[in-house]
Amino acid sequence: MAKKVLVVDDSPTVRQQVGLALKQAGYEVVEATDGADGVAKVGSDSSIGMVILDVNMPRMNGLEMLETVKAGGANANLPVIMLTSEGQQSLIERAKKAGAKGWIVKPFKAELLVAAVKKLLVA
Amino acid sequence: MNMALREDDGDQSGVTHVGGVPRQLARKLFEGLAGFRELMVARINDVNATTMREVMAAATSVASVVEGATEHITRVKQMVSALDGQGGGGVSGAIARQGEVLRRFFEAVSRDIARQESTAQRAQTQLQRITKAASDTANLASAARLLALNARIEAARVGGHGNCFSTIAGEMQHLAEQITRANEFIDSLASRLSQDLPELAQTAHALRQSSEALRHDLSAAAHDVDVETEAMRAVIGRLLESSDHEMAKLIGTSHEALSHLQFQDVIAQGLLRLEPPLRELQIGQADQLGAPDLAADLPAAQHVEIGGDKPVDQQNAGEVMLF
Repeated sequence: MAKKVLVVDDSPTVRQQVGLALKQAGYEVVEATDGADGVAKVGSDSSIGMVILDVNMPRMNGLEMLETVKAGGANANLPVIMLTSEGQQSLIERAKKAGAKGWIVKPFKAELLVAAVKKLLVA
Repeated sequence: MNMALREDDGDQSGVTHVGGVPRQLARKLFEGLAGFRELMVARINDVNATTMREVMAAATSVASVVEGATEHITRVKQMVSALDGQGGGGVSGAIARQGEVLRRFFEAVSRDIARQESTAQRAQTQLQRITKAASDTANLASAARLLALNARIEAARVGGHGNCFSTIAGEMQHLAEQITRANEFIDSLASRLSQDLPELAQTAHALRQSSEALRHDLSAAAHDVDVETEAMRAVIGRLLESSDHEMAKLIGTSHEALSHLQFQDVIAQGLLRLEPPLRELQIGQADQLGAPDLAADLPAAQHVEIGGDKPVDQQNAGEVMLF
Protein backbone atom coordinates (compact mmCIF):
# COMPACT_ATOMS: atom_id res chain seq x y z
CA MET A 1 0.00 0.00 0.00
CA ALA A 2 1.34 3.44 -0.96
CA LYS A 3 2.40 5.66 1.92
CA LYS A 4 0.18 8.68 2.36
CA VAL A 5 1.58 12.21 2.48
CA LEU A 6 -0.42 15.27 3.58
CA VAL A 7 0.47 18.45 1.67
CA VAL A 8 -0.56 21.61 3.53
CA ASP A 9 -0.28 24.85 1.52
CA ASP A 10 -2.66 27.69 0.75
CA SER A 11 -1.35 27.86 -2.83
CA PRO A 12 -3.19 25.45 -5.16
CA THR A 13 -0.29 25.56 -7.63
CA VAL A 14 2.19 24.44 -4.98
CA ARG A 15 -0.18 21.71 -3.76
CA GLN A 16 -0.58 20.51 -7.32
CA GLN A 17 3.17 20.49 -8.03
CA VAL A 18 4.07 18.74 -4.78
CA GLY A 19 1.23 16.28 -5.33
CA LEU A 20 2.35 15.45 -8.86
CA ALA A 21 5.98 14.90 -7.81
CA LEU A 22 4.95 12.62 -4.93
CA LYS A 23 2.36 10.68 -6.95
CA GLN A 24 4.99 10.10 -9.64
CA ALA A 25 7.21 8.63 -6.94
CA GLY A 26 4.42 6.26 -5.86
CA TYR A 27 2.99 8.08 -2.86
CA GLU A 28 -0.64 8.73 -2.11
CA VAL A 29 -1.34 12.43 -1.54
CA VAL A 30 -3.99 14.27 0.47
CA GLU A 31 -4.23 18.05 0.64
CA ALA A 32 -5.08 20.73 3.18
CA THR A 33 -5.43 24.45 2.46
CA ASP A 34 -4.16 25.86 5.77
CA GLY A 35 -2.90 24.87 9.21
CA ALA A 36 -6.36 24.42 10.74
CA ASP A 37 -7.44 22.18 7.86
CA GLY A 38 -4.14 20.29 8.22
CA VAL A 39 -4.66 19.67 11.95
CA ALA A 40 -8.16 18.34 11.22
CA LYS A 41 -6.88 16.01 8.47
CA VAL A 42 -4.08 14.64 10.65
CA GLY A 43 -6.55 14.06 13.46
CA SER A 44 -9.06 12.21 11.31
CA ASP A 45 -6.76 10.09 9.13
CA SER A 46 -4.37 7.82 10.98
CA SER A 47 -2.92 6.47 7.72
CA ILE A 48 -1.09 9.74 7.00
CA GLY A 49 2.61 8.93 7.21
CA MET A 50 4.17 12.33 6.59
CA VAL A 51 3.35 16.04 6.32
CA ILE A 52 4.75 18.61 3.88
CA LEU A 53 3.95 21.96 5.48
CA ASP A 54 4.03 25.58 4.28
CA VAL A 55 4.74 28.32 6.83
CA ASN A 56 2.79 31.42 5.78
CA MET A 57 -0.87 30.49 5.57
CA PRO A 58 -4.16 32.13 6.64
CA ARG A 59 -6.11 31.06 9.76
CA MET A 60 -3.29 28.94 11.21
CA ASN A 61 0.30 29.19 9.98
CA GLY A 62 2.56 26.19 9.47
CA LEU A 63 4.61 26.63 12.64
CA GLU A 64 1.44 26.78 14.74
CA MET A 65 0.16 23.63 13.05
CA LEU A 66 3.49 21.92 13.64
CA GLU A 67 3.43 22.80 17.33
CA THR A 68 -0.22 21.70 17.64
CA VAL A 69 0.37 18.34 15.93
CA LYS A 70 3.54 17.60 17.86
CA ALA A 71 1.79 18.41 21.14
CA GLY A 72 -1.07 16.09 20.19
CA GLY A 73 0.54 12.90 21.50
CA ALA A 74 -0.77 10.40 18.97
CA ASN A 75 0.96 12.19 16.07
CA ALA A 76 4.02 13.36 17.96
CA ASN A 77 6.26 11.10 15.84
CA LEU A 78 4.73 12.08 12.50
CA PRO A 79 7.59 13.33 10.30
CA VAL A 80 7.08 16.90 9.06
CA ILE A 81 9.03 18.76 6.37
CA MET A 82 8.55 22.52 6.17
CA LEU A 83 8.28 23.80 2.57
CA THR A 84 8.39 27.57 2.51
CA SER A 85 9.83 30.69 0.94
CA GLU A 86 11.05 31.67 4.42
CA GLY A 87 14.71 31.18 5.22
CA GLN A 88 15.16 33.00 8.51
CA GLN A 89 17.31 31.13 10.96
CA SER A 90 15.01 31.98 13.89
CA LEU A 91 12.07 30.31 12.11
CA ILE A 92 14.16 27.29 11.17
CA GLU A 93 15.25 26.92 14.79
CA ARG A 94 11.65 27.23 15.98
CA ALA A 95 10.55 24.49 13.59
CA LYS A 96 13.47 22.27 14.56
CA LYS A 97 12.67 22.75 18.24
CA ALA A 98 9.02 21.90 17.61
CA GLY A 99 10.06 18.60 15.99
CA ALA A 100 10.20 19.26 12.23
CA LYS A 101 12.49 16.86 10.37
CA GLY A 102 13.41 19.15 7.50
CA TRP A 103 13.23 22.60 5.91
CA ILE A 104 13.04 23.19 2.17
CA VAL A 105 13.17 26.67 0.66
CA LYS A 106 10.77 27.42 -2.23
CA PRO A 107 10.89 27.24 -5.15
CA PHE A 108 11.68 23.56 -4.62
CA LYS A 109 13.10 20.95 -6.98
CA ALA A 110 10.87 17.90 -7.31
CA GLU A 111 13.66 15.31 -7.17
CA LEU A 112 15.16 16.84 -4.00
CA LEU A 113 11.78 16.97 -2.31
CA VAL A 114 11.03 13.33 -3.21
CA ALA A 115 14.50 12.25 -2.05
CA ALA A 116 13.93 13.97 1.32
CA VAL A 117 10.49 12.32 1.70
CA LYS A 118 11.93 8.88 0.85
CA LYS A 119 14.76 9.30 3.30
CA LEU A 120 12.50 10.30 6.16
CA LEU A 121 9.87 7.66 5.47
CA VAL A 122 12.50 4.91 5.42
CA ALA A 123 14.16 6.12 8.61
CA MET B 1 6.33 60.37 14.34
CA ASN B 2 3.87 60.13 17.18
CA MET B 3 1.85 63.24 17.38
CA ALA B 4 -0.49 63.71 20.30
CA LEU B 5 -4.09 64.29 19.50
CA ARG B 6 -4.59 67.96 19.68
CA GLU B 7 -8.01 69.12 18.71
CA ASP B 8 -8.36 72.86 18.48
CA ASP B 9 -11.45 74.55 19.68
CA GLY B 10 -12.18 75.75 16.21
CA ASP B 11 -11.70 79.00 14.30
CA GLN B 12 -14.08 81.82 13.97
CA SER B 13 -16.06 79.91 11.35
CA GLY B 14 -16.53 77.02 13.80
CA VAL B 15 -14.38 74.48 11.86
CA THR B 16 -12.72 71.86 14.09
CA HIS B 17 -8.99 71.35 13.50
CA VAL B 18 -6.66 68.43 14.20
CA GLY B 19 -2.93 69.14 14.03
CA GLY B 20 -3.64 72.38 12.25
CA VAL B 21 -5.65 70.60 9.51
CA PRO B 22 -9.41 70.86 9.35
CA ARG B 23 -10.79 67.56 10.73
CA GLN B 24 -13.05 67.07 7.76
CA LEU B 25 -10.06 67.34 5.39
CA ALA B 26 -8.03 64.96 7.61
CA ARG B 27 -10.85 62.42 7.46
CA LYS B 28 -11.06 62.77 3.67
CA LEU B 29 -7.30 62.24 3.32
CA PHE B 30 -7.50 59.22 5.58
CA GLU B 31 -10.45 57.76 3.74
CA GLY B 32 -8.71 58.43 0.43
CA LEU B 33 -5.73 56.39 1.56
CA ALA B 34 -8.06 53.70 2.90
CA GLY B 35 -9.76 53.56 -0.50
CA PHE B 36 -6.39 53.36 -2.20
CA ARG B 37 -5.41 50.51 0.10
CA GLU B 38 -8.63 48.63 -0.59
CA LEU B 39 -8.20 49.16 -4.31
CA MET B 40 -4.60 48.03 -4.12
CA VAL B 41 -5.49 44.86 -2.19
CA ALA B 42 -8.37 44.14 -4.57
CA ARG B 43 -6.04 44.55 -7.57
CA ILE B 44 -3.42 42.37 -5.93
CA ASN B 45 -5.98 39.66 -5.27
CA ASP B 46 -7.23 40.02 -8.83
CA VAL B 47 -3.70 39.74 -10.28
CA ASN B 48 -2.94 36.80 -8.02
CA ALA B 49 -6.16 35.04 -9.00
CA THR B 50 -5.44 35.57 -12.69
CA THR B 51 -1.82 34.41 -12.53
CA MET B 52 -2.81 31.47 -10.37
CA ARG B 53 -5.50 30.45 -12.87
CA GLU B 54 -3.06 30.68 -15.78
CA VAL B 55 -0.26 28.94 -13.92
CA MET B 56 -2.65 26.19 -12.83
CA ALA B 57 -3.66 25.72 -16.47
CA ALA B 58 0.00 25.53 -17.51
CA ALA B 59 0.82 23.20 -14.62
CA THR B 60 -2.16 21.01 -15.47
CA SER B 61 -0.93 20.77 -19.07
CA VAL B 62 2.58 19.85 -17.95
CA ALA B 63 1.16 17.38 -15.43
CA SER B 64 -0.91 15.88 -18.20
CA VAL B 65 2.24 15.45 -20.30
CA VAL B 66 4.00 13.76 -17.39
CA GLU B 67 1.04 11.47 -16.66
CA GLY B 68 0.63 10.67 -20.36
CA ALA B 69 4.31 9.83 -20.67
CA THR B 70 4.17 7.66 -17.56
CA GLU B 71 1.08 5.80 -18.78
CA HIS B 72 2.66 5.35 -22.20
CA ILE B 73 5.83 3.78 -20.83
CA THR B 74 3.74 1.55 -18.54
CA ARG B 75 1.69 0.34 -21.53
CA VAL B 76 4.85 -0.25 -23.58
CA LYS B 77 6.31 -2.28 -20.71
CA GLN B 78 3.12 -4.35 -20.44
CA MET B 79 3.16 -5.05 -24.19
CA VAL B 80 6.83 -5.95 -24.14
CA SER B 81 6.27 -8.16 -21.13
CA ALA B 82 3.48 -9.99 -23.01
CA LEU B 83 5.79 -10.51 -25.98
CA ASP B 84 8.95 -11.16 -24.04
CA GLY B 85 7.45 -13.69 -21.68
CA GLN B 86 9.29 -12.73 -18.52
CA GLY B 87 8.30 -15.22 -15.82
CA GLY B 88 7.20 -17.91 -18.29
CA GLY B 89 4.32 -16.04 -19.95
CA GLY B 90 4.10 -14.31 -23.30
CA VAL B 91 4.65 -15.35 -26.87
CA SER B 92 8.22 -16.56 -26.46
CA GLY B 93 7.17 -18.53 -23.38
CA ALA B 94 4.38 -20.18 -25.42
CA ILE B 95 6.84 -21.07 -28.19
CA ALA B 96 9.26 -22.51 -25.65
CA ARG B 97 6.47 -24.57 -24.05
CA GLN B 98 5.32 -25.83 -27.44
CA GLY B 99 8.89 -26.87 -28.28
CA GLU B 100 9.13 -28.72 -24.98
CA VAL B 101 5.86 -30.59 -25.66
CA LEU B 102 7.10 -31.64 -29.11
CA ARG B 103 10.47 -32.69 -27.69
CA ARG B 104 8.77 -34.91 -25.08
CA PHE B 105 6.46 -36.36 -27.73
CA PHE B 106 9.34 -37.34 -30.00
CA GLU B 107 11.28 -38.75 -27.09
CA ALA B 108 8.30 -40.98 -26.24
CA VAL B 109 7.92 -42.01 -29.91
CA SER B 110 11.64 -42.81 -30.10
CA ARG B 111 11.45 -44.91 -26.96
CA ASP B 112 8.44 -46.87 -28.30
CA ILE B 113 10.11 -47.44 -31.67
CA ALA B 114 13.31 -48.62 -29.97
CA ARG B 115 11.24 -51.05 -27.90
CA GLN B 116 9.51 -52.32 -31.06
CA GLU B 117 12.87 -52.79 -32.78
CA SER B 118 14.20 -54.70 -29.82
CA THR B 119 11.05 -56.88 -29.70
CA ALA B 120 11.40 -57.68 -33.41
CA GLN B 121 15.02 -58.71 -32.85
CA ARG B 122 14.02 -60.94 -29.94
CA ALA B 123 11.23 -62.49 -32.06
CA GLN B 124 13.81 -63.28 -34.75
CA THR B 125 15.93 -65.09 -32.18
CA GLN B 126 12.89 -67.03 -30.91
CA LEU B 127 11.98 -67.93 -34.48
CA GLN B 128 15.44 -69.35 -35.05
CA ARG B 129 14.97 -71.49 -31.93
CA ILE B 130 11.53 -72.64 -33.13
CA THR B 131 13.01 -73.54 -36.54
CA LYS B 132 15.73 -75.51 -34.78
CA ALA B 133 13.16 -77.27 -32.53
CA ALA B 134 11.04 -78.10 -35.59
CA SER B 135 14.09 -79.53 -37.29
CA ASP B 136 14.81 -81.66 -34.21
CA THR B 137 11.19 -82.84 -34.16
CA ALA B 138 11.42 -83.72 -37.87
CA ASN B 139 14.47 -85.86 -37.11
CA LEU B 140 12.55 -87.53 -34.29
CA ALA B 141 9.62 -88.21 -36.62
CA SER B 142 11.96 -89.65 -39.21
CA ALA B 143 13.53 -91.89 -36.54
CA ALA B 144 10.05 -92.91 -35.40
CA ARG B 145 9.07 -93.82 -38.96
CA LEU B 146 12.20 -95.89 -39.32
CA LEU B 147 11.50 -97.57 -35.99
CA ALA B 148 7.89 -98.31 -37.03
CA LEU B 149 9.14 -99.80 -40.28
CA ASN B 150 11.60 -102.04 -38.46
CA ALA B 151 8.87 -103.06 -35.98
CA ARG B 152 6.57 -103.94 -38.82
CA ILE B 153 9.30 -106.05 -40.48
CA GLU B 154 9.98 -107.81 -37.21
CA ALA B 155 6.26 -108.39 -36.61
CA ALA B 156 5.90 -109.92 -40.11
CA ARG B 157 8.89 -112.17 -39.46
CA VAL B 158 7.46 -113.41 -36.14
CA GLY B 159 4.11 -114.06 -37.80
CA GLY B 160 0.82 -114.28 -35.86
CA HIS B 161 2.51 -113.54 -32.53
CA GLY B 162 3.68 -110.19 -33.88
CA ASN B 163 0.23 -108.86 -34.82
CA CYS B 164 0.04 -106.57 -31.81
CA PHE B 165 3.51 -105.18 -32.63
CA SER B 166 2.33 -104.60 -36.16
CA THR B 167 -0.62 -102.53 -34.85
CA ILE B 168 1.65 -100.44 -32.61
CA ALA B 169 4.08 -99.99 -35.52
CA GLY B 170 1.17 -98.79 -37.64
CA GLU B 171 0.14 -96.27 -34.96
CA MET B 172 3.75 -95.07 -34.64
CA GLN B 173 3.87 -94.65 -38.42
CA HIS B 174 0.64 -92.65 -38.28
CA LEU B 175 1.95 -90.49 -35.40
CA ALA B 176 5.24 -89.83 -37.22
CA GLU B 177 3.28 -88.70 -40.29
CA GLN B 178 1.13 -86.37 -38.17
CA ILE B 179 4.30 -84.92 -36.54
CA THR B 180 5.79 -84.46 -40.01
CA ARG B 181 2.66 -82.60 -41.21
CA ALA B 182 2.70 -80.41 -38.08
CA ASN B 183 6.39 -79.71 -38.66
CA GLU B 184 5.73 -78.81 -42.25
CA PHE B 185 3.06 -76.34 -41.05
CA ILE B 186 5.48 -74.88 -38.44
CA ASP B 187 8.16 -74.69 -41.14
CA SER B 188 5.85 -72.81 -43.43
CA LEU B 189 4.86 -70.38 -40.61
CA ALA B 190 8.51 -69.93 -39.59
CA SER B 191 9.45 -69.34 -43.17
CA ARG B 192 6.83 -66.61 -43.56
CA LEU B 193 7.80 -65.08 -40.23
CA SER B 194 11.49 -65.23 -41.09
CA GLN B 195 10.67 -63.16 -44.15
CA ASP B 196 8.44 -60.65 -42.27
CA LEU B 197 10.41 -60.17 -39.04
CA PRO B 198 13.61 -58.73 -40.59
CA GLU B 199 11.45 -56.33 -42.59
CA LEU B 200 9.66 -55.34 -39.39
CA ALA B 201 13.00 -54.83 -37.62
CA GLN B 202 14.29 -52.81 -40.57
CA THR B 203 11.15 -50.66 -40.61
CA ALA B 204 11.45 -50.07 -36.85
CA HIS B 205 15.10 -49.18 -37.28
CA ALA B 206 14.34 -46.75 -40.13
CA LEU B 207 11.50 -45.25 -38.12
CA ARG B 208 13.82 -44.77 -35.15
CA GLN B 209 16.38 -43.08 -37.35
CA SER B 210 13.73 -40.78 -38.85
CA SER B 211 12.44 -40.00 -35.39
CA GLU B 212 15.97 -39.26 -34.14
CA ALA B 213 16.60 -37.00 -37.14
CA LEU B 214 13.29 -35.22 -36.53
CA ARG B 215 14.12 -34.83 -32.84
CA HIS B 216 17.52 -33.44 -33.79
CA ASP B 217 15.93 -30.99 -36.25
CA LEU B 218 13.38 -29.99 -33.64
CA SER B 219 16.10 -29.42 -31.09
CA ALA B 220 18.03 -27.28 -33.62
CA ALA B 221 14.85 -25.34 -34.41
CA ALA B 222 14.16 -24.85 -30.70
CA HIS B 223 17.72 -23.61 -30.28
CA ASP B 224 17.16 -21.15 -33.15
CA VAL B 225 13.96 -19.95 -31.49
CA ASP B 226 15.87 -19.50 -28.21
CA VAL B 227 18.59 -17.52 -29.97
CA GLU B 228 16.04 -15.36 -31.80
CA THR B 229 14.02 -14.84 -28.63
CA GLU B 230 17.16 -13.85 -26.74
CA ALA B 231 18.10 -11.42 -29.53
CA MET B 232 14.56 -10.01 -29.52
CA ARG B 233 14.72 -9.68 -25.74
CA ALA B 234 18.04 -7.82 -26.00
CA VAL B 235 16.66 -5.44 -28.63
CA ILE B 236 13.53 -4.84 -26.56
CA GLY B 237 15.66 -4.34 -23.46
CA ARG B 238 17.76 -1.70 -25.24
CA LEU B 239 14.61 -0.10 -26.60
CA LEU B 240 13.04 -0.01 -23.15
CA GLU B 241 16.21 1.36 -21.60
CA SER B 242 16.37 4.11 -24.20
CA SER B 243 12.65 4.77 -23.82
CA ASP B 244 13.01 4.88 -20.03
CA HIS B 245 15.91 7.30 -20.38
CA GLU B 246 13.96 9.58 -22.72
CA MET B 247 10.87 9.41 -20.52
CA ALA B 248 12.94 10.21 -17.44
CA LYS B 249 14.37 13.19 -19.30
CA LEU B 250 10.89 14.29 -20.36
CA ILE B 251 9.52 13.91 -16.84
CA GLY B 252 12.58 15.67 -15.38
CA THR B 253 12.15 18.56 -17.81
CA SER B 254 8.46 18.72 -17.01
CA HIS B 255 9.18 18.89 -13.28
CA GLU B 256 11.76 21.56 -14.01
CA ALA B 257 9.07 23.51 -15.89
CA LEU B 258 6.71 23.02 -12.95
CA SER B 259 9.33 24.28 -10.52
CA HIS B 260 9.62 27.47 -12.61
CA LEU B 261 5.86 27.88 -12.33
CA GLN B 262 6.29 28.27 -8.59
CA PHE B 263 7.14 31.91 -9.34
CA GLN B 264 3.39 32.50 -9.14
CA ASP B 265 3.27 31.61 -5.45
CA VAL B 266 6.38 33.68 -4.75
CA ILE B 267 5.01 36.69 -6.65
CA ALA B 268 1.58 36.32 -5.02
CA GLN B 269 3.12 36.35 -1.57
CA GLY B 270 5.37 39.25 -2.57
CA LEU B 271 2.39 41.32 -3.73
CA LEU B 272 0.39 40.46 -0.62
CA ARG B 273 3.29 41.74 1.45
CA LEU B 274 2.30 45.24 0.29
CA GLU B 275 -0.86 45.14 2.41
CA PRO B 276 0.64 45.39 5.94
CA PRO B 277 2.94 48.37 5.05
CA LEU B 278 -0.06 50.15 3.51
CA ARG B 279 -1.96 49.60 6.75
CA GLU B 280 1.01 50.96 8.69
CA LEU B 281 1.09 53.94 6.31
CA GLN B 282 -2.53 54.67 7.11
CA ILE B 283 -1.92 54.49 10.83
CA GLY B 284 1.11 56.77 10.43
CA GLN B 285 -0.95 59.19 8.38
CA ALA B 286 -3.60 59.34 11.09
CA ASP B 287 -0.85 59.98 13.62
CA GLN B 288 0.69 62.73 11.50
CA LEU B 289 -2.68 64.34 11.14
CA GLY B 290 -2.89 64.28 14.92
CA ALA B 291 -5.97 62.03 14.72
CA PRO B 292 -4.94 58.44 15.62
CA ASP B 293 -8.56 57.71 16.47
CA LEU B 294 -9.29 57.65 12.74
CA ALA B 295 -7.21 54.43 12.49
CA ALA B 296 -8.68 52.82 15.59
CA ASP B 297 -11.15 50.69 13.63
CA LEU B 298 -8.80 49.69 10.83
CA PRO B 299 -9.18 45.96 10.14
CA ALA B 300 -6.08 43.80 10.55
CA ALA B 301 -4.09 43.01 7.42
CA GLN B 302 -5.35 39.84 5.72
CA HIS B 303 -1.88 38.66 4.88
CA VAL B 304 0.63 38.35 7.70
CA GLU B 305 4.15 37.06 7.05
CA ILE B 306 5.49 35.51 10.20
CA GLY B 307 8.98 35.95 8.81
CA GLY B 308 8.34 39.62 8.14
CA ASP B 309 8.70 41.51 4.89
CA LYS B 310 11.86 40.64 2.96
CA PRO B 311 13.11 40.08 -0.58
CA VAL B 312 12.83 36.57 -2.00
CA ASP B 313 15.96 34.62 -1.19
CA GLN B 314 16.75 33.12 -4.59
CA GLN B 315 20.19 32.00 -3.46
CA ASN B 316 18.77 29.47 -1.03
CA ALA B 317 15.88 28.40 -3.28
CA GLY B 318 15.49 24.63 -3.46
CA GLU B 319 17.85 24.08 -0.52
CA VAL B 320 16.98 21.01 1.54
CA MET B 321 17.93 20.88 5.21
CA LEU B 322 17.22 17.68 7.08
CA PHE B 323 17.51 17.77 10.85
